[in-house]
This record gives sequence, structure tokens and C-alpha cells, in this order.
Amino acid sequence: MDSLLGIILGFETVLTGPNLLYCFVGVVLGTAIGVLPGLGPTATIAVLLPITFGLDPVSALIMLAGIFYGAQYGGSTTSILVNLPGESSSVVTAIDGYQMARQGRAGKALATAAVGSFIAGTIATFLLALFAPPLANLAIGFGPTEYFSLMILGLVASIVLASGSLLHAGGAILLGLLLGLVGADVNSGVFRYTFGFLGLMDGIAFVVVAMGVFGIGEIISNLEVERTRATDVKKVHGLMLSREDFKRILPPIFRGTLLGSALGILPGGGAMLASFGAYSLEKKMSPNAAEFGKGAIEGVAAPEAANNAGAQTSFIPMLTLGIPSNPVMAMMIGALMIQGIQPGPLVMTQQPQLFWGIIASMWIGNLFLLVLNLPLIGLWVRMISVPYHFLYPAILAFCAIGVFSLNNSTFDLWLLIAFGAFGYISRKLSIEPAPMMLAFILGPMMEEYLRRALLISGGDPMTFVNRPASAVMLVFSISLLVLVLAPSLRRKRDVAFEEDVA
Amino acid sequence: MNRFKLASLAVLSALVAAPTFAAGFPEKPITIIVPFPPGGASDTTARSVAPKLQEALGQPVVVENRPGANGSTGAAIVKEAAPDGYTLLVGSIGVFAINAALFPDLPYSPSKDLDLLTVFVRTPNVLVANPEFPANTVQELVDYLKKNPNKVTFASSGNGSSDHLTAALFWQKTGTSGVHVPYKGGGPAIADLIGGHANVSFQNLGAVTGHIKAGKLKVLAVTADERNPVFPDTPTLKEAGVDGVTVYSWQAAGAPKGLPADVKAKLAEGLASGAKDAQVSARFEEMGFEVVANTPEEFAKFQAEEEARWRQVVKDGNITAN
Amino acid sequence: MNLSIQNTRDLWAGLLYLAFAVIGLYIGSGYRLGTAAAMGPGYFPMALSALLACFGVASVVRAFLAPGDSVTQLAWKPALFILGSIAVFALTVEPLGLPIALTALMLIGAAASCHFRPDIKAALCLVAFVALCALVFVHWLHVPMPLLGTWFGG
Repeated sequence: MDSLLGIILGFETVLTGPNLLYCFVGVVLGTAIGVLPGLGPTATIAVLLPITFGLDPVSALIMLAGIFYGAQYGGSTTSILVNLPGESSSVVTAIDGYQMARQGRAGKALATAAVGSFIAGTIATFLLALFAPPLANLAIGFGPTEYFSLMILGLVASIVLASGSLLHAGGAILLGLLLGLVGADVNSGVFRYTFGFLGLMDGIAFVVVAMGVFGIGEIISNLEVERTRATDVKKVHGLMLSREDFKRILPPIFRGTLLGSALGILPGGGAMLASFGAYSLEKKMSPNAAEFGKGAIEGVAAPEAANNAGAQTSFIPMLTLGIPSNPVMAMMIGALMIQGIQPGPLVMTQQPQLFWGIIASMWIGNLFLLVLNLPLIGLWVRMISVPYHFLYPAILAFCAIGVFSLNNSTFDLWLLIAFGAFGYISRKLSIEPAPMMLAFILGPMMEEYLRRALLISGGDPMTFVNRPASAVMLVFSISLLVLVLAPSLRRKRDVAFEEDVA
Repeated sequence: MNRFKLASLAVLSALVAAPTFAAGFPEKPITIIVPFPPGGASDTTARSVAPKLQEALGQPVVVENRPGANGSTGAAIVKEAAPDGYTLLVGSIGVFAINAALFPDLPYSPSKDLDLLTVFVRTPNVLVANPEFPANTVQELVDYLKKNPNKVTFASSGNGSSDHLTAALFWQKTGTSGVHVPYKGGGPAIADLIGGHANVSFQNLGAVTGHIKAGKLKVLAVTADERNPVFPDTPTLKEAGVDGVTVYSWQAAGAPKGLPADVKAKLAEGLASGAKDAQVSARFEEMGFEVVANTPEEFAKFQAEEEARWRQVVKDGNITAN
Repeated sequence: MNLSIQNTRDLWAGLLYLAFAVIGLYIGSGYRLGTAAAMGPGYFPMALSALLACFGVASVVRAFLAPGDSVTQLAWKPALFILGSIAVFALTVEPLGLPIALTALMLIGAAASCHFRPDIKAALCLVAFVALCALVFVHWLHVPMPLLGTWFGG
């Protein structure tokens, strides 16, 4: 019953005048930042941090949290509309979301994202309220060994992401892994594959690769077929979701929410896997599997739900243990420390208003997002119905400014050019960008965890089998791999595909 | 080449203009370069002091993050800027001392390329362990390490970080050894300590105070000269019998070498008094920082000592990062 | 068997993998390898590069053995214009300032399209868009891009 009292306290805290306003300001800002590709929540929160010094700690954190999940949400908008994933979590949304947009179903894709995010946010918030402390202890049990096995599972799942040949799925994944290794090695500090460039010492920024491979590569590809095929001016059908659509998206939303909530708890990179995992899961489970990659509405619903649920539950380690899951959380901890609150397990008992206030604000924030974004859908759809040759220079401008603003340096712009060319060429060769991006994100973490696990175990590889959670994930990975590779199954999949087309 | 030409042009014009504008300094906005991503200790320090500097000098003070390569990217940018007082650097012990000891081909030298202005704050490191770890005192830890050489894992916030080098110094002074496990920043290192995946660590006081108070970590010693008011029962390493491991992390400000003397004095004074401001220093104390706010001369002496000291630790410990 | 290759997609993709693998192996061989139990910085990149090389060889071999798609002609004009426009932006944003650099970026970029022609209404839109970007990014979001570059003493 403590939780019930807590939630009541939380809503009391949020619904009192200024906090409601800060929550609103937070999500509006967050959405705006998410929609502007390249500009991340980290930079924005840094700019706003001094302003929060003067605020009450609860108001400050409510606003910062709003920016965080607002940006996660806003990132999916550009993914769907113009194939620009500004956040790693919206890469998968781009796969089917952008296809839907090209077919004139952008409205439905955006509505699916909004509804899916809201449902996921609601469920995740209540999970957070009810089970935060025990879940946090579970998260702490995850050490480098478990994380490595989780990354392996994620990588195997990414093969499922690919729709083309297995050979090129593997090639794309290896390319992504290799690109992810550029920069300083965490263990030894050696700079690898930096070619002497200072700008490569911290590795290649995700946004640069995403903008290059998805954004610029897509623009060039579109221009290539401009003469022969009308890429633009598609007829827009229904903005809103039909009863039939709801029937299709609800189960994926619930599955995505569950998976996202579970992965989001893990501070060492679980949340990044949420949207990828949910997409792969749906692709294996859905009766409409053949539509995936060609504009399946489930392919938007599941990852968006997972992503948003993960964004909410990633607050669990921060609120209950003072452990940040990502740079934004680290900044929130900084904001708390400036306010004189020591992050850690005592926050929950000593600052119940803060703890429950943030939780309650998340639900209200999600409501704001829904109310704010549903009416905006019409506007967005009208915006992309502008002829493509007027639209793409603007996309180009956002890419350039966004990439520049990452490190405030022109070096990243030269990288953008390289990845734009690389993206275009790999598109021509049908090397798929999505599994490559996932591998790019997972690669460095995988190596880091592998080597750390071996360092801690004194070089004993049996640690991966001896620790039960790790062993379970490895068994899972192997079975999934067998499933994917089994040639008989492949043939069946191809047959099913052909039937659908026919 | 182009950039170099531009820079030298700027230097030249600055030299020509120096006598006139020094009187009216500052006449345009001042940029503080923080060579780390937003939200870290250097960033917070810079953003806390910036408004006070702005008040004191009557011109806008803008904080710009230029992260990369352990802070070298931003520091190198400041080195290239004109020494006119309009470009400042706010960085950590890493930027002003450890990097120079660790990287043989660092693109800047803190003592040769920068005018050192003031050390804002310092914070001691604390020696913390997972509560289940068998040793409860420094002596027990030393005995345990001697009985189990190269077994105990020491988590650090990165290769070449101040907590990594503190651990190396600790091993050197006690004649022990352990396994260094680097992480990407303090957060994940603390998480693995709490989870019991790593055993021991030296961490900045402010980062672990909450966890110690909640019993998720146990504190064995502080690396300061004196006991800390937050944990009055915890001995200093010296009291616990380990001499020579007094380590503070600190945040400081510099500028390109060759500031006009009066500009340098004006900036040093403005920055130091910004850190001493009642409101700002109260905030620093809440974060576990101790305000230093020393003079350029004191900072220069301190920097030389620190760089020499860490150079020795790096050499003795055979630590490389390149 | 027909040795003239129709399956150029597999061939080029395989060569791309091989190129990356060779670079990976060549540079990676300079890093300490270590052992499987205590990996050095070179272990992981070398293993990945070697694996990628296998995929490259497999792809090239498949190009000769199995039927597949052929790669269509590269679209040089849009590729050069689009990539070139970013290069111009990178070169001009600091010396000339955001408004000029952005205008150049969008004009060169737009010229890649076969629908590109001088148009007064589009020009007005461009000016408005650039002004909006300057306002949002420089003024509100404090992205440190000059409005007037160093050439104009900004």
C-alpha cells in the first residue's frame, strides 16, 4: 500500500501549479529537440542546467525528465517522415515507418507511434511505481558477464532484422562492429583506427553514421530514380487509425512494452536493445511477417512501445540507486547534486516527493505528448507532401547543422560526407543499414564487456556458462541462430513471402 | 595551414591592439571552452562560475563544450586561440596535469601553452569497497592484497583517470598489486562496485557519498590531508599507515599563453571571486567540492608539482595509454 | 559454366567487405594482440576483420557461381552535388557564417535535382528558412556557429 500512498503523493506534487507547467515545458522542448535531427537531449539539458539551479529540485527533475522522454518520442517523428533517426532507439522505427510514409500512410505511422508510446508509457510508469526497488536490485545483479551474453543475443536478433540474404546480413553486421571499434580502447587506452585524427579519438558519433547512411544515402538514392519514378506527391490516405489497425497494433504494443520495460531496467545498455529486440520479436511472431520492411504497421508499433517503455524504466536505477543509465541521467544526477541531494538509495525514503513526483510526472508527461502530438500529425503530413525537390534541401540543412552541433566541429561534417557516400554505395549493393547500425552500437559495448568479464574472472571463459543468467541468454542466442540458419525454415519463409506477394 | 595563418594573424592583431584594449577589457563576449561533454564536473564548475564572471566583467560569458580525446581536443583549441582573454579553458586535473604525464604526443602542454589562472575547487577521493568484501580497514586491505596478489579488482572511471592513477600510486606505496578494471566514467564503475562485480575503487567523494550513507558501499579511507566532515569516523590514508597517497581531483581555469598582464589579473580575480561567491561556494560544498580559488602563481607552482608527481607514478607503474 | 558475371552485386559487396577487412587487418596488426583470456587492443578488431574477409571471399565466390542482381549505374551527378554541398558548408560555416554557408549548401544540394530551376518563390522560401535556422539554432539553442564568419570579423 506504500506504493498507492506514494502515487497519491506524486500526483499531488505534480498537479500543484508550477510543476505541471515544468512538466509541460519539458515535454514540449523535448519533442522539439527530438524532431530536430542531431540535436540531442544531452546538449539541451546542459544549456538549461543553470536555469534549474533556481528551481525547486522536484520541478527541475520533472522538467529534465520531460525533455528526456519527449526527445525519445520526437526522434521517431523524423524517422518516419524523412528517414532520419536522430536517436539510436528510432533506427528501427525508420525501417517500416518511412516505408509507410512513402506509401502515403505517414499519418497512420505517426498515430501508431503516439498511441503505442502512450500505452507503453502508462504501463511502464505503473511498473515503476509498484516494483522499482526489487527491479533495481535485479539490475545490479547484471555484471559484465551477463551484459556480454545479452549483447550476443542482441546481435543474433539483428540477423532477424535483415530481410535480404544472410550473407549480406552477416557482412553488414561485421562492418558495423568494425566501425564501432574506432576510437580509444576502454581497456588499454590505445587509439584504434583513428588515422591520427583528433576527431576520431572518441569514436564515430552515432548521429554521424545514422545521418550519413540513412539521411544522405537516402537522398542520393531518391534523386537517382527521380527521373524514372515519381518519388513524391503520394496520395495521403486516412490520418487516423481504423478499428482494424488497432487490432493489428495492440498485441505488438503490449509485447513491446514488456520487452522494453525489462531491458530498460538494465543500466549498462539494455535500453538501446529494446526497440531492436521488439522489432525482431514481432518479425518472428507476426502473422504479417512478410510485410516487415515494406511498411508493416506492427514494425512501428512494437519498437515505439518498447522504446518508450524502456525510457521510463531506465529511471529505475537512477531513482532507486543513483546509477545513471545514460548521459542524460548522469546529468540529472549532476542537477540533483547541485541541489544538495546525494544520489543514491536514500533518495526514495528521504525525498519521497521527488521520487514519486517524477514517477507521476512521467504519466502526465506521456498524456501531454499524446494530446500535443495527435493534432500535429496533420501538420507533419502536410509538410512532407511538399514536392521532394523542395523537401530534401531542408533535410540536408538539418543534417549538416545537427552533425556540426554534436561536437561543434567541422570534422564531423567531413565524416558525414564519407558516411553519406558509404550509405549510398551500400544501398546500391543492398547491404542493409539497420543491422549495421545495431552492430555499430553494440560492437564497442560487446568488446568492453567481454574483456571486462575476462579481466574480473581472471581470464576464465567458463564464467559465461557458470553464471546462470548469462548461460540462459547464450542458450537462447544459439537456438535463435539455429532457427535463423536452418535452411528448411529459410525456404519456408521464402515460400510464405512469395505467397503474400502473389 | 590556413587555420594556422588565421591564428597567427589573430595573434598579430591582438599584439598590435593589446595596449589599447587592455584598458577596456572586456569589450565583447567571453567564451569558456569545456573540453568534456555537458554535465560532468568540469562543465558544472564552469557553468556555476560563468554567471558570476559575467556580473563582474559586464560582458556575456558563454560556455562551449568541445569534448574529445580526454579533454585534449578542447585544450588544443584554446592553445590555438588568440591570447586576448576572450577564450578560456575550464578543465580537470586530467587536462591540466595527468594528460601531460600520460600521453607522449599530447597536442598541448599545460605549462608551456597555457596561462594558468586559478584552481576553482578540489575534492578528495575516497577508498570504497563492496560491503561484502572481506577487508574493513586499510590495513586489512593491504594484508589481503599481499596474500592475494593480482586478484582484487580495482574499478576506475577510465584508463588514465585520477582514480586509476590513485590506485596505481596506492599499489606502489604499499608494495601490493591488484587488477585494474577501467570503465567508461564513474557511473558504471560505481554500479559494478555496488553489484559486487568489482571489489574496490578510489572514487570522487561526492559521487559515492549517497551510496556509503545507504550502506551500499563501505568507505575505508579518504585520500585527503584531513578527515572529511561528511565522514568524521573515516581515517585519512596517512592515519591508516599509507603515506604519500594524498590525492585530490581538481577543476581549474586557464587561457592561451601570453595574456596581457592586466587582462590576466582581471580574469584570475574574476574567476576566483566567482568561485568564492557565497551562493556558488555553497553549491560546490553540496557537491562535495572544497573551494580553493588560488592565485595564478600558486596554481603554476601546484601544476608543476602535480605534473611531475603523476609523471613519476606513470613511469613507476609502467602505465601507458598510447 | 558462364564466367561473365551478371551477379555484380555480390561481387562488389564482397570487394567492399574485403577492402574493409584488409584495412582492419593491416592497421590492426599494429596493436597488441594478447591472448583469448587476456585480450589486447588488437584481438577483437583482428578477429572481426578476419571474419569479414571470409564473408568477402564467400560473396565474391558466390558472384561467380550463383545468379543474382547486377548493380545499376551509380548516379554521379546527385552524389557529387549532395556530398559536395556538405563539403562547401564545412568549409564556409566558420569563415563566412551560417546564413551564407547554409544558403550555399541548400542551393548546391537543390541543384542535384532534375527539377531545379530558378524560381522567385523558392528563393524567398530559402531566405525565410535560413533566417529561421539562424534564429532557432544560433539564437535559441546556442549552437556556436557564427552569423557573420571570421572573414567579416565576426
